Amino acid sequence: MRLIKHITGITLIAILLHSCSGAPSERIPNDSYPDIIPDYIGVTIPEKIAKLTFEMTDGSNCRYEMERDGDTLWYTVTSWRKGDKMATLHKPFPVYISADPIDPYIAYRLIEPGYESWHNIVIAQRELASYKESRIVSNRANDMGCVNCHTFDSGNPQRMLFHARGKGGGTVFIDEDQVRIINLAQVGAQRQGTYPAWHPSGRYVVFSSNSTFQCFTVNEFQPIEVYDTASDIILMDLQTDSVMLVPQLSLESRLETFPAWSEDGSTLYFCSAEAIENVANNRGKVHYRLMSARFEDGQFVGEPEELFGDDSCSVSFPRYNDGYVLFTHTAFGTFPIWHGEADLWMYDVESKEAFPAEILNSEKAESYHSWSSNGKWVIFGSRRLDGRYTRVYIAHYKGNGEFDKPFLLPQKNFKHNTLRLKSYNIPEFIKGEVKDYEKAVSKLFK
Amino acid sequence: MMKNRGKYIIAALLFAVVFCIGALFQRYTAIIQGQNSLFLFTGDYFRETFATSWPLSHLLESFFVQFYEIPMVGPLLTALIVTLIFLLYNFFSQRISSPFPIVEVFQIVDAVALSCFSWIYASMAETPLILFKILLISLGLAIVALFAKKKEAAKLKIWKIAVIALFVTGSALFISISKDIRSDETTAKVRYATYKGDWNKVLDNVTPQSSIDRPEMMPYAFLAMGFTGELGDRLFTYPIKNIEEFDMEGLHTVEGNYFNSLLNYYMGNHNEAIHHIFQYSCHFPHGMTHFSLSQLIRYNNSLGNYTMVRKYAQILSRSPRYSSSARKLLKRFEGAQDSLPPAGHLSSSAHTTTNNPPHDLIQLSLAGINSRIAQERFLCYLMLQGSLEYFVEAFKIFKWERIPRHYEEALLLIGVNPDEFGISAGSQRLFNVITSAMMQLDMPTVDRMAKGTYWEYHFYKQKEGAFESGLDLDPDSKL
Repeated sequence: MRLIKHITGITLIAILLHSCSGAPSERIPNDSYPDIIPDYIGVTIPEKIAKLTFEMTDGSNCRYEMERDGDTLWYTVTSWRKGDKMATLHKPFPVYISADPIDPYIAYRLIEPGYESWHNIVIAQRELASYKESRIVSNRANDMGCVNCHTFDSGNPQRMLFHARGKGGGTVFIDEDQVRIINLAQVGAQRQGTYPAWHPSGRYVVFSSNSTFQCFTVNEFQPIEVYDTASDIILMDLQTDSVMLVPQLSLESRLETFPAWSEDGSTLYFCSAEAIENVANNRGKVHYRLMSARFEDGQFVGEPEELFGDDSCSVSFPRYNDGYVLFTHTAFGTFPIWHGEADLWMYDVESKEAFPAEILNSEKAESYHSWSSNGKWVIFGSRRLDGRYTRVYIAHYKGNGEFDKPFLLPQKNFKHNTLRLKSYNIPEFIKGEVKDYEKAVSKLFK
Repeated sequence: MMKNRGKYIIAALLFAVVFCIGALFQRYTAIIQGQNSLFLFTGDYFRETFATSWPLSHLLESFFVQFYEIPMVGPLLTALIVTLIFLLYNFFSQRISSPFPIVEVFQIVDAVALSCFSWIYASMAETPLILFKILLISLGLAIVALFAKKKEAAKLKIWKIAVIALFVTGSALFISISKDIRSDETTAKVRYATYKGDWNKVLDNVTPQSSIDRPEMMPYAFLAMGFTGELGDRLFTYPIKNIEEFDMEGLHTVEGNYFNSLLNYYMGNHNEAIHHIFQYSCHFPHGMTHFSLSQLIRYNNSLGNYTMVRKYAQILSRSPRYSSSARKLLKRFEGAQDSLPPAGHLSSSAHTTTNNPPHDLIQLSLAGINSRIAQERFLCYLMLQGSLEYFVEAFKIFKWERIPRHYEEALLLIGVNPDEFGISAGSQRLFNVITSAMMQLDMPTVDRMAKGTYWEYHFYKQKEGAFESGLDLDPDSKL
C-alpha cells in the first residue's frame, strides 16, 4: 500500500485556487512560510479528513496550490494585498498524512460560553471527512433545559447517554432504538449523576456526583470559577439499573470527580481534592490529585492510590491510553476551560512521572480531551483562537507519550470559527453516525 | 380612477396616522426592539432561523427591525408595513370573491380592519413579528389574486368612510392611551437614556411622583443620581420602602440583566458587566442581539481584551446595520495587543456571587476598584439595612467636601458628635425639631418634618419591626 502511495506520490492531486481574481501575475519568492491562520504548517492529519482551509493572518488575499508527495502534502501559498503589483510566493509548507486511521465522526456540544443561563444547546456530530454537521439532540427536546455530558459506550454510536436537566429530567440512556430516562437521584444512592465514564464492558457506568457552584472574579483574567462543595463517585449497573455509592471513593473529607476507565476496565482513574471550607474565598487552595482505584468483578477493591499532584497544581479529566494518562493541568480548581493557564499533560503509569504535552498546548486554555477508539488520535478543546470560544483540535499520537502538531478541525471557511457564537464542548470520537434523537427524546418530556 | 384614488388616500392616511402615533408614543420602544434584534449574514444564523416555525417572517422581521435602533426608523417602517398589509389585502379582496355576500359588502373596510388589528397587536407585543407574519400572508394572498380577474370594485360609500375612520382613529386612540404601551415606552426611554448615559433624562422620567406607581423604575434613578452626585441628597425623596427597591436583582430577568450589565460597567466591574450581558442574551432567540454584541465590544475594550473586541466586531460586520461601524472598529483595533492580568494567578480573593449586590460592592474595593458610585451605593445599602454603626465606619473612610443630606441624617440618628463630623446646622435643627416632636408624641409633626428624609425611612422600618436600632428617645442621651 505504501509502495503504491510512493509510486503515485509525485502525482499532482489537486490544484486549488482561492481568491484567484485580482491576483498579480508576477510573484516574488519569499524564503519564509506564510503566516496563516489556523496554523496548519507541519501538522499531521489523517487520510480521511475534510480539506484544510486557511487564510493569511494579516487579512491579505491568498491562493494556494497543493501537491502530494508520498505521505506529505505540500502547500504553496501566494499572497498579496489589494492593489499590489506583485504577489509573494511563500516557501511551501508541509502537512503530514498519517497512515493511522481515525474514527469517522466526532460528537460535541454547542453552547454559548456563558454563565448561569443558556438558550440553545445542541449535542451535534460532525463527519471528519466532510464539513457535514448534524444534530443528535438539542435542548428543544426538553423545553430548553440543559443537555450535557454526552458519552458513548466505547465510541459506539448506538449506545450513548447524556443528562437532560429541567422538569422531568434525568439521565437519558440510548441503546439503538430504545431511549429511556432515569433520574439517578431517585434510585439507589439518591445522587444526581454528573461526569460519566462508561466501562469498556458496556455493563457499568460510573458517575461523579457533584454539588457545583460558581463565583465570578472582579476583572481577573479568568471571569468564572466553577467549584464543587461536595462530590462523590457512584456506580451504575446497567443490567439491573441499580446505582450504588462507592464508599472508598466518596469520602466526606475529599472531593472525588472526573472518573475514567483504563482500556481493560480494571482501573478507574479519577481526581480527588481535600474538601475545604468557603471554597469561593479559598479557590486558589483547591488542588486535585490524580488517583486510581482497582475494579474487579463489578466492584472496587482496596484503597485508592494517589498517582500525581501536589499543592502547586490541579488535575482534571484523566484519560488513559497506552500506558499514559492524558490530563488537564491547571494552577488550581476543577473547571479548566476558564483557566487560561490550563494545559494538557501526560502521566506515565510505569515511571509514575508527569510532563506537559508541549506540542498540544498554547497560551490559552486547553481542556477537555478524549482518545480515538484505536488510541492513535486525541481530540481536545482549546481556546487558543480568541480566549473564550472553545474550538476543537485533533492531534496524532506517535506513541511513547509523544504527539504530532495538532490541527484545528477544518471548516468550509475558516471565518466560521470567528463567526460561530458557540463553544465546542466535550469533543468525543465516535465510530459511526448517530441518529437524530430529537423526537425520541422529546417524547420523554411530554 | 376615483375608486383607486380613494384606496390610495386611505393608504396615505393610514401611513401618516401609524407613523405619527409610533413617533409620539412608541419611539423608544422601537429603538429597544432594534437593539434586541439580530440579523447576520452567517451560516449559523440562517440555520438557526430556519429551525424555527415561521422562518421567513422571522428573517424578514429581524432584517427590518435591526434598523429600528435608528431613531424614527421604527415608526416609519411600522407605518410602511401596516400600509402594505392594507394594500396587499385589499388587492386580494378586490379580485377574489368570497362565498359570503356580507364579506363583499365590507370590501376595503376588511383590509383596513386587518391592518389596524395587526398594528394594535404588534404595538402590544414584545416584537413586531406579527406584522411580518401578516405581511407575508397578505403577500401570498395578493400573489394568488394576481391570477384572478379583477372584480367590479365596490363604491366607497359614506358609511364605509365612517367605519374606516372609526377603525383608524380607534386604533390610534387605543395605542396612545393604553397604559401598558405608555409604561413600556417610559421603560424603553429610561433604558435608552441609561445606555446613553443621559442621566438628566433618566431623572426627568423617573421622579419620586412617578415612582409611586412604578417603583421598579427607581433603580435607574438611583444609578443616575450616583452620576449626578445627588444620591446622598435625594435617595429618600423617592418612595423607597425596601432594600430590594434600591437595586434590580433578578438575575434571570431581561430588565435585571440590562440594568446590572450597565451598572457594573459604570462601576468598573467589567467581568460582571459581561456576565450580565451573557445572561441578558439568553432571553433572545439567537442567544445574542445587536445590543449584546455591541456591549460586549464596549466591555471587552474596557477590560483590555482586544481579541474579543475584534471577534465581536467581525461578527457585527456581518450585520447590514452595523457593518460599516464594525469595519471601522476592526481597523482601529487591528494589531492591538491584549492587556489582561496573567492567567493562573489570583490578584485577590475578591469575587462576586449571584444576587448579592452589597457583597459585590465590597468585593470591588477588595479588588482595588475605587468607584465613587460603588462607594456611595455601599453607604446607601448600609443605611437601607439600618447598619448605622457600619455606616459610620464606612463614612469615615471617604473624604467629603460637603456631606450629603441623607448621610447627615444617618449620622445624627446614630448619635455622633455633629461638630466632629461637620454636620450642617440645618440638619441638626431639623433633627432637634423631630426629636422634640417625638418625645411629645406629636406624630403628625414628625411625619411632616421627616418627609423625604432618611429618618422617614428609618422610622417606617422601625414600625415594621425590621430595624432594631433607631432613634434613641432617652432624654439623657447626648443628643
